[in-house]
Amino acid sequence: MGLGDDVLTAISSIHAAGLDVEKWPRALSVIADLVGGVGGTLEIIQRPSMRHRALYSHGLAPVDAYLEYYASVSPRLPYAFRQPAGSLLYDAQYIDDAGIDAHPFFMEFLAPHDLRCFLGGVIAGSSHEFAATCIQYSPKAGHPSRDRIKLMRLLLPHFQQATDVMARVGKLSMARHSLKWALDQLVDGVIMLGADGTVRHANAAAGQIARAGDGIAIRRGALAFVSGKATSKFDAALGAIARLRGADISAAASTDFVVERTSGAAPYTVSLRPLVGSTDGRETAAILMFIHDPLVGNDVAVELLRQAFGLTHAEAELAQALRSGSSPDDYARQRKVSANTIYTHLRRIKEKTGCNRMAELIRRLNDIQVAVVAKREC
Amino acid sequence: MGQGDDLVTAVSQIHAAALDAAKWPDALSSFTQLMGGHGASLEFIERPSLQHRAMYSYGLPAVGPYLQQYAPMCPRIPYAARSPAGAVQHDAQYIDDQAMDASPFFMEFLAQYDMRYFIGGIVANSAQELVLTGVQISPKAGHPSPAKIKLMGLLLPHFQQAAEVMRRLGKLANAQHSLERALDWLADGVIMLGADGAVRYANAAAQEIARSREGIAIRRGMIEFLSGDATAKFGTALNAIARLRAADVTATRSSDFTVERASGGAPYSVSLRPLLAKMDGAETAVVLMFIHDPFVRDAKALELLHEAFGLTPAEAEVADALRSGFSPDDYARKRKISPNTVYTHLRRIKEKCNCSRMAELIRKLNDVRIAAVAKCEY
Repeated sequence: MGLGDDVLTAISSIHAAGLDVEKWPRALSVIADLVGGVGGTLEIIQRPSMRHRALYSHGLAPVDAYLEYYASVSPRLPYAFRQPAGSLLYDAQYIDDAGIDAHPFFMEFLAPHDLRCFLGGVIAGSSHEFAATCIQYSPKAGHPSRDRIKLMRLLLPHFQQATDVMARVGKLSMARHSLKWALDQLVDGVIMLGADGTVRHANAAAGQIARAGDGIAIRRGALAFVSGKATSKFDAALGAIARLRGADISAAASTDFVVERTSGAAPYTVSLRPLVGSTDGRETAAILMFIHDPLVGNDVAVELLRQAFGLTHAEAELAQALRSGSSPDDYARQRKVSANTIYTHLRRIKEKTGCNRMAELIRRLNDIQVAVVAKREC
Repeated sequence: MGQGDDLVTAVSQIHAAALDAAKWPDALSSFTQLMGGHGASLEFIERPSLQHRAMYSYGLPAVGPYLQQYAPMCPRIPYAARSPAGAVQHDAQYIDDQAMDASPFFMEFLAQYDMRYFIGGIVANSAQELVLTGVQISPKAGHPSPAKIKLMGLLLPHFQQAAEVMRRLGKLANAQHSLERALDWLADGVIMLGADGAVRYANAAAQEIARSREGIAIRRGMIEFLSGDATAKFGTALNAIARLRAADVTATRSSDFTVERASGGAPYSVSLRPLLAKMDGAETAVVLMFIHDPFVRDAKALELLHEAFGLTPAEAEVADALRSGFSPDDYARKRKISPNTVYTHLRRIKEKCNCSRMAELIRKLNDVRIAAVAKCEY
């Protein structure tokens, strides 16, 4: 069972690296020892650009020189690119010793570092990506033996499984990142809460509202409202979620209420909605909280009004003020421009939108909006 | 390499099952053969309830009765719950044969299936979850030998790695699912596009808009607009975003435009946002598309006006009409009621909202707004 033990350790080290890429050098070191090499690499190459997306290595000093120049003259890569995933790779497959002695990749690059032959395998080969592992041997070790090739055959499926884990984790992380970013674009605050009421995620707008501390705060991972009425509404919805796990909790847990501000400004509108899901057999009950802050302006709206009706910037700004309830005189005072100018803008707006009456205009303007912010850093 | 080969095969199957749970019976079958037992299981038990969340098995005849009746009286689970992850488990650690003969779990349950002993281990043990694996052994085979116990010690780390892969992928999938459900509650449509323009995700509101085919459709995974103008603007925006790739990430620009409807009704407002992200070396571009449909109005908005200002249902309807641009006379005509009634409602609304001027009232009514839809099927 001696052989099995070593192989199992090597297999473990590969799978550990699949979950934590910083462990690849360690895994490559274990494998180089197992098959009698001096160092090794795991290379992931993008197609068709042929650029290295990742290179993990152990025991090989000239990685930079390889990436910058010698990868492009290596006869191994063109050969490997033609092999399907799961193929074993070694020099004797495509070159003889006389060929090696005449090749600059072997003589100029490998020889000065006391390297010559290699043993490896194709981990993945698709139209957009190629991945391979290679263990390097000193000239003294010669070509890899049959037993060593057999060992690599045993290990290669584990490299494939580990890189599959990396790819899946990467894809899911990317999806999560994009979705969080989508929530961050919203003008309204969105908070995801666990069934126990703890804050699991808050989007950028919700973070700003909580930091403002004007009626809603996040303290030690939990929501805190200044108003007692808001607190009891929130607790009731939380109670409904906890009591009705798995049943139809939609009605019981959906509620909308206003939350007074400490500053006395226009209140927040808070909406609670249930979030029930089960992905891996475990049911996760949670609550979504949407917060509308009437004080947060919507800059995108101005741009949309310009686009939709061909308004000038000044006209679009006036239109935006009108639909949020300002009168033309209010607006003139606030902007310190003459009322005549404002009424001229208003006449143009009415012409461009084809509305004679003010109420009709407001309705027309209100149709054009998107609840996203103009700019937010990702 | 006889047993070594079997062992390596079993280990490979365990890692394969981590990525495809349907393969657990195969892996547990090899595990059973190696250990010389009747069958094997991998059990996920929630803490502190000690209830089974999931169980994979091979060769066990009575999984149903076990989960329903016998698991709560199984003395192995409480013992396991006190042991750390990575601990190898067998009955002799906590019970002698005399006590087994007196335990209903052994005598009423296991004995009828010609099972008595087990060899297994703690795969994971946290405050939330206990994960166990084990092989059931016949009375004739007796307690597991030291060699079998050692073999279990070699296999257990691979079960641990496999469970960690499952946990990691499950957690990420859960997060993605929750975020997608959160976006489903938005009144506005949200579509996520790859750099090639392919639709990767569309929330419930966006799917509804696409189904209505009023101006925006999703065909073969691509966005299509009825209007040539919108198609051109969309194409220009996507090209600009494609050029952004590899350039300065902070230079992300958004693009907003309106999309005419086939019905000639108020147009959709569309906002496009690019996201450039680097995920483990690979650059990925995603485009977010927000769509506002002015015809989507929320029934709960009326409830909220009652909540916020104490308006009666009739007053709330008048208030909602006013803020969307109707004049009191318009509203009276539309509803076929006398203008006097509407003006009475209006006076009460002004009193309750504490506003004397119309513009101020509209602003105040507009401040109270629900960010989420009332009901959402998923």
